[in-house]
Amino acid sequence: MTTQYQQRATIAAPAAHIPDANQLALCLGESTQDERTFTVASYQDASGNLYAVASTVTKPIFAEMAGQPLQAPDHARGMDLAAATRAQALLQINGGIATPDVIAVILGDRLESAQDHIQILGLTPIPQDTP
Amino acid sequence: MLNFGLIGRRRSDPLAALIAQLFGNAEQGAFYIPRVVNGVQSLFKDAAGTTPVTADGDPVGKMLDQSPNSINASQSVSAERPVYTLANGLDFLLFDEVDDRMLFPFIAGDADNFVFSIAVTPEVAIDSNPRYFGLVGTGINLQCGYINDSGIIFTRVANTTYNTGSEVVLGNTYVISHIVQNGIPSIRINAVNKNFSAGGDPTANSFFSNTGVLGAGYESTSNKLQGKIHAALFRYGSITESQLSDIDTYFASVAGVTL
Repeated sequence: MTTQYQQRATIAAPAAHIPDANQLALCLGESTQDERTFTVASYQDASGNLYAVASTVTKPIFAEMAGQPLQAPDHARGMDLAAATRAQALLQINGGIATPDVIAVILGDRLESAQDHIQILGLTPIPQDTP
Repeated sequence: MLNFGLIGRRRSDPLAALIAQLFGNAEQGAFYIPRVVNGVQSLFKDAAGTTPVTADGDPVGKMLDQSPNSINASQSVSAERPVYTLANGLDFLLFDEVDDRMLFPFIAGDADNFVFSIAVTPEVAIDSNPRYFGLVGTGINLQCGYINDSGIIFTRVANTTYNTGSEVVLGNTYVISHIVQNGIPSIRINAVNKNFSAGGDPTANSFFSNTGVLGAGYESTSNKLQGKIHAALFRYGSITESQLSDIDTYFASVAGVTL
């Protein structure tokens, strides 16, 4: 049997757009909890701008839905569709490095590495304290 | 006749035998194997456990506990779900180091007698942040454990961090057991007991969590595992050398490790 999840999407949400990006994730995702997709802005670009990053395998319909007028899904009828639409307008799919004025997405084959996507986005993790 | 039948089944089924051995006296804990177990579905795409994982490449939202305790691991956020992978005859969960992790309810128990075992392949990452692979929380002040770029494994017991020497080559697979017996921590790698060095008294109680985690260190978005988890268990109670050896043998078999 072949998986339906044939692509990997890695998404960089600029810190200022995290709430809207979470509504878009809720709209395009599969779970009522997807409004918690982007949490802490723990990545930065070369200029020090901060981003929250998510990476997941997706079905091909993800890219199709991302380009169409949004509708609240069955699992989130009460979602903020206006916020999701604002985030949708900022989507930049396979457009290269992340910048603070777009929600950059690297969409590739499911076997591609999230870390390779993050390098394409030009992001690095902010060093973390260790216990 | 019934007893003979059970004994025969356990002898022919090493997983059932190991679970009976470790949890047969109502010991607390959980046992995770990311694959179909004895014909029974153990992985689901959603956290509610309604849609079975059926193919290599499916995300995993729920993994059933194989012990009698039903401490199932789950992930309700789509993007944080690891990917079930079947490669070269081995089943494992693949974690992307970005956001993937599986959570399970932490159950407090005997802080002085505990084991956390895992078959894990930590991969080389793009940054120097440590790769955490598992955690249990506040109730026993135990965190196990993480691997840094130098292949050093760290764990923490009662606010003290312990570390090994450089034991792990990133990209290779290991069976690692963090053991606390009578309050004394030790570590075992591929069936060999290793020396621990105590290091400092960190004040990072905030790293602790009441949620058990596989594939990450604690309840934050950082310090995730890039790599594979083939099997994991935690269990309260005293444990014998024979039981540890049986864990090593079974975990090695499902992870393709030669002991």
